[in-house]
Amino acid sequence: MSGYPAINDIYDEMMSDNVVRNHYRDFVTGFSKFDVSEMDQKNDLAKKLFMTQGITFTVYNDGEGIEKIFPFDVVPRIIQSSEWEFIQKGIKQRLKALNIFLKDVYHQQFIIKDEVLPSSLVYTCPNYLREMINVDVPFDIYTHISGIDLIRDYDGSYYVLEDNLRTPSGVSYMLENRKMSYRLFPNILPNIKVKQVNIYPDLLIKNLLSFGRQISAKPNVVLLTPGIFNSAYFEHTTLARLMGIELVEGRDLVVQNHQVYMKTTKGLKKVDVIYRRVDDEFIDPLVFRQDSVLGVPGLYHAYRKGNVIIVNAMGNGVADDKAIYSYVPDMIRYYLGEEPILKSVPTYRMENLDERQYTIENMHKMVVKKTNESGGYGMLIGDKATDEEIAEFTKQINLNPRSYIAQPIIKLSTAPCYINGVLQPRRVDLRPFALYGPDGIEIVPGGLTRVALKEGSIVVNSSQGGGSKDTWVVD
Amino acid sequence: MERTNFQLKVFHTRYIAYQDGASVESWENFCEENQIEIDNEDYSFGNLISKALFDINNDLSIASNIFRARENARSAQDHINKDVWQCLNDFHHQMKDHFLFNQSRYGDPISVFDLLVKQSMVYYGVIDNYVARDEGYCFLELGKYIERILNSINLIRKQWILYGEDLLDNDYSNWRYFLSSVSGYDFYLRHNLGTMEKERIFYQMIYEPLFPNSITYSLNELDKFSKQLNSGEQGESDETVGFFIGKCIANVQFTRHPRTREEKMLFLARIESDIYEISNIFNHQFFGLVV
Repeated sequence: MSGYPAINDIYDEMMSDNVVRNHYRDFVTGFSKFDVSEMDQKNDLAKKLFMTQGITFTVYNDGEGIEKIFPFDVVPRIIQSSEWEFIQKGIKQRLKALNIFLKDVYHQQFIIKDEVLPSSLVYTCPNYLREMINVDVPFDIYTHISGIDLIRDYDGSYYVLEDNLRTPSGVSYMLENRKMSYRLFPNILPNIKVKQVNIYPDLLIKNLLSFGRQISAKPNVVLLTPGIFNSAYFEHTTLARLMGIELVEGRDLVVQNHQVYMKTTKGLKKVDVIYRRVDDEFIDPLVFRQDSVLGVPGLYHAYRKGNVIIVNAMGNGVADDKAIYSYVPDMIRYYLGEEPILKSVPTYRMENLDERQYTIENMHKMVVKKTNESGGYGMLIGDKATDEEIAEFTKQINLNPRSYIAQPIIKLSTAPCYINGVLQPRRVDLRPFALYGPDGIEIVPGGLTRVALKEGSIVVNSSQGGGSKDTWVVD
Repeated sequence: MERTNFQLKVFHTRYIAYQDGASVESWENFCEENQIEIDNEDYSFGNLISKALFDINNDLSIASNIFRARENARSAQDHINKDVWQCLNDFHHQMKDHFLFNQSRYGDPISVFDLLVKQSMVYYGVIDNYVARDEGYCFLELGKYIERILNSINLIRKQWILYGEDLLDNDYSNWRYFLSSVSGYDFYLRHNLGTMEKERIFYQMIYEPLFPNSITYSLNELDKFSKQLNSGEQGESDETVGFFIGKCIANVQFTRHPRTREEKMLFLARIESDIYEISNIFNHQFFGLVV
């Protein structure tokens, strides 16, 4: 570890002042026994296994599908359980507030009346669905499944980068990464007592059934996928298999008399819960996008009448909008009367003239993001952008300020990655997955650590050259 | 070969349970069960697995199983086809591969399990697709299902001894591994959505006619192949085998689901005894062995 080139002024997950952090020690002891050729073998094995086991996502180019693996770094990211407790507490608090916000914003709108949140921000949000107004959802839970993206700043404090409350993906990679870890490092996991993540499908199905029991004593649960061309199709099939539920596409479902049915060889079978992985705008062509072939005509009205439960609820996009993000700490104070446990990254809203002016003057110190984009698209990183790119973004911001926000560039923490035969620091974030059920919020101890594999990059998204690593929570 | 396939799946799952930190079984127990002799108190998992798989001096190892299967096949080459012989021969040579041994001892045992299970599947595929449905095939299948029932009984018995009485235990991970070791986890989930109950698992293992590793399924297959065997007889057909298989099926089908662990053990012992009886009748009737 002596040659590990930790970066100055950046928090490193493994090293502190050239000393291995306590919670990494056991792993490092085991890891040090492998020489370069053994590590290269492990690296190759991981790549081969991901490909042969079909743990891939498909990229379509010129009408041709290319199977790609989500790059996996063999060195796990390790988190101490005391720190995990803190993260857990912070996420639970945040989700509670966001969930109340969703209930409020689609019902009485106290938060707007009390001027905690400007109404313009809500009504101009493209993901705010007027169709959801006064729709009651079981147990008042909207955010059944969420992935909260966390980063660390130079001082090691955690910040929430993004709330993913619509159809967060990546959980199958969390599960597969763990399987990969015990193949690459046999016996190390049980020896250092890494907490298990494979309970996720059990927790999820338990919640889905609890929701379904509002409708039927023996609820029928299905997973609605956009189909094989979706990049996360592997995840859809994995989750359906691990929960023992049917994987269906829109064309497999039909709505009759506001009831949803699944077509089977033995006739129609009533569906009570839909874990959907289809976006809001495609879910019902009669109400949302008319050209959608991924959804089910009539589904919205069946949902509105309470004949089917859709997980996650429709209209959640208003709560994970990047402009509304800056109000989440206020929401926590307003709804829960508590101080936020997890920090939020300071966010400048472009429709506010002063903040826009400041951003444009300091563009090279900012990350500018489109409010309704994700996956690293529609983003400008000031210190890496060319003058032309900055000029183009400035123009776009002035044309449509509501669609942009800016944040100061955060010095994401680094974690060791095995690249070209040596350990090198690379920037990471963390996406823990939370499940909100009738019994409360549960978070599996781990999550998906995404890593920016390109040297110097801070973009961890898979679509932008990012990869992932296993996340170990240890005592 | 059935035993080989069964053992490979069980070892594989047990290894994963251990890596997940969910196994409570002692390695001494594992050694005793598989007659593994350990030198220098080396209870490292690599050592145990490599011995369970590759130790030719251990009668219960996978290598010994394959060796015996190959010897049997060699002596009956005129009754089997070339594909079956080739498959067994390949399997045998795989078991002598030092790379695989080292991989299980020092590297990634799951790669070894995957490879061996795959070879086992190739064997089943060859039998299924290329072997004539004659008397020899019937005996192969009869042997397979007798072996499967005995292996299942042992596994169920052990599982209930270890975890069956723990009524307050809400951690079902051990039951998940148990089902995985008989390729029954997906089946269970499909039929018992979101409910993990020991009694339902017991039901699936004993009574479920559509689950290929259940006792009922195997008994039905025994019945089918014994009838097929009898129908090919030139002389007077003998109903003895059919009677004993029917008796065993009736014993399983018309016994009330045993609730307590003791009742379950007695029930399993009775099925086991029936199966040994059926096996003896086959030996006596078709091979003239005195029982």
